Amino acid sequence: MSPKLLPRSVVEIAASVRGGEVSAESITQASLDAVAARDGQLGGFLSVAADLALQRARDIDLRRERGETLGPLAGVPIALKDALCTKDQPTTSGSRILAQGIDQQGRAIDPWRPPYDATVVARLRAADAVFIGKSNLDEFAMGSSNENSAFRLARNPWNLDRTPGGSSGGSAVAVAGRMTAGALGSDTGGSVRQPAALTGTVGVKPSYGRVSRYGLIAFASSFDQVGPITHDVASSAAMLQIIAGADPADGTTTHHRVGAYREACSRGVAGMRIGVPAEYFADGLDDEVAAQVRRAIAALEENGASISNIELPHTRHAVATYYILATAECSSNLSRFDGVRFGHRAHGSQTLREVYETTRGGGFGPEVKRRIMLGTYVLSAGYYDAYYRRAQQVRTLIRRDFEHAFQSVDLIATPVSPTVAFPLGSKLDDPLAMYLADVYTLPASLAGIAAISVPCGLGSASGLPVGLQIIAPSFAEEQMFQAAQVVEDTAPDREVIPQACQS
Amino acid sequence: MTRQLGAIVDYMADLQQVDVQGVEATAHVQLDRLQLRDDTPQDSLARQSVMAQAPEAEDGAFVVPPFVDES
Repeated sequence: MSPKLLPRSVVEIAASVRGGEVSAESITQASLDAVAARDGQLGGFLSVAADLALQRARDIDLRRERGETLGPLAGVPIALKDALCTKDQPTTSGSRILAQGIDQQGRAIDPWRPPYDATVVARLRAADAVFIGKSNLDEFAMGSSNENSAFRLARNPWNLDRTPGGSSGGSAVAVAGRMTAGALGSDTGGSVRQPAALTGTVGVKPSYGRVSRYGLIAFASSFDQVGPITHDVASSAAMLQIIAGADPADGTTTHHRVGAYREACSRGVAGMRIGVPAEYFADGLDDEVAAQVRRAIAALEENGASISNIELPHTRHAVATYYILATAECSSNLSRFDGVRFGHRAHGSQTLREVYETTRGGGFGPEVKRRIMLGTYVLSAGYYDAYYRRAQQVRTLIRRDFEHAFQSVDLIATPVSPTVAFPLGSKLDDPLAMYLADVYTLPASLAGIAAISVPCGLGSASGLPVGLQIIAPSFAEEQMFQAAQVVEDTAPDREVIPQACQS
Repeated sequence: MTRQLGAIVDYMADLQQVDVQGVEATAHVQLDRLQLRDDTPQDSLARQSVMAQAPEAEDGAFVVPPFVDES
């Protein structure tokens, strides 16, 4: 018998656990049963913490029986992207360099166990969420298909031959595959939004500075943000509510007021001005994606929003700009993986230089090496001005595009991905083609502003999920959720269950 | 790998056509909003828990092969 499908809503699970209608233990067990039944095929998890999760769930149930008030995410099963540090628990960032090897099942042997929790992890735990395990990802969050994971292939629950997207592919698989109600991912250039779009889930990239990055293994520090992936908009709002806010351990977090995100979801879009940039509907956008995105925008209009055409003229430079800046930042960030202080050290090195060379040479996969080399190239003395400095200037122009647009509109609506989920292996030999698929998510990342991906129906040709992106100014997440909820409420195909969850 | 890197670098040359005359560089979107904390000592992670994850450690120090005069 197939395990009963987990309830979809983070909000409803927490309410029923808090109200004593269902035990945290039974929800946790249902989540673990789903992982046992489906994850062998789906590859969403790199490690599962079954005993710890059950122990934690029983503790939550016990506290409720004693009359204690439980946290706002009581008993909610959550998957954590394996780029997030979990104290004394395996943390690999999808890389061999943080493990001593890989076993036959693609599991890390003796992985790194961080001495501390990421702030977002500590906050979810304090809200009484239950962590089921660490989810699969492209190595060090570099990739758009999850195929750069050093450990396992992740498959899209809607079609097992397709990618779930990346880099937070495993987090999206955990949710779309009905194994957890929610997940945390990290979004540097679209790594939460794109997998959410490709798996029919909701994914949020908060404004830069909204959520602490402390304990998120750094890829590109001027872009990285942690965000939730869930089945519905209200659940993402509920999770962001918990993880948002200033953190003394991350100096880039701001004291800007945290909004009332859950409440915002019910406010509607009457009178809201939403811009549609022509640059996001140009060549390369699949017809079936364009059709659903335009239908969703029409639904926003029917619900009282005013839609207008806007221009974001520097959009076409976003891919080059991002891949210069992000690789530059990664080449610096990843220098810490040197085989000296933590993780893997290659055996048999006679000199320190050999330790570095053999540890990094054997520990990093091809995409990570590619980006480190590109990053050091664009930062090198002879090319710094032509590449790195110029890209920083174009970043300014892209920010100005948005600043200008937000003078006349409140939000911007676009596609998330130019295509539905693409076949596994189809872009593996062509990294540039993989980068170009990020064209619609990169501009908001470069500008540091907020964006969400909301399912807006299935493609008419493929039957695979399509996501609508709503982009908001910095710290305007409330308005973003207002519109996202309307998109969700008016989306077709909401009750279709992914192939992998049907049997 | 060389061919792939070449294609990517060629693509990045796209930025050469953008007019950036007089445009300031964005190093970071948040620098104007950063807040400094008080300069007071705080507890940090226990040395033992940090050293426990090192590939090789001894007497509270990381151990590496010799690197002086390694020519």
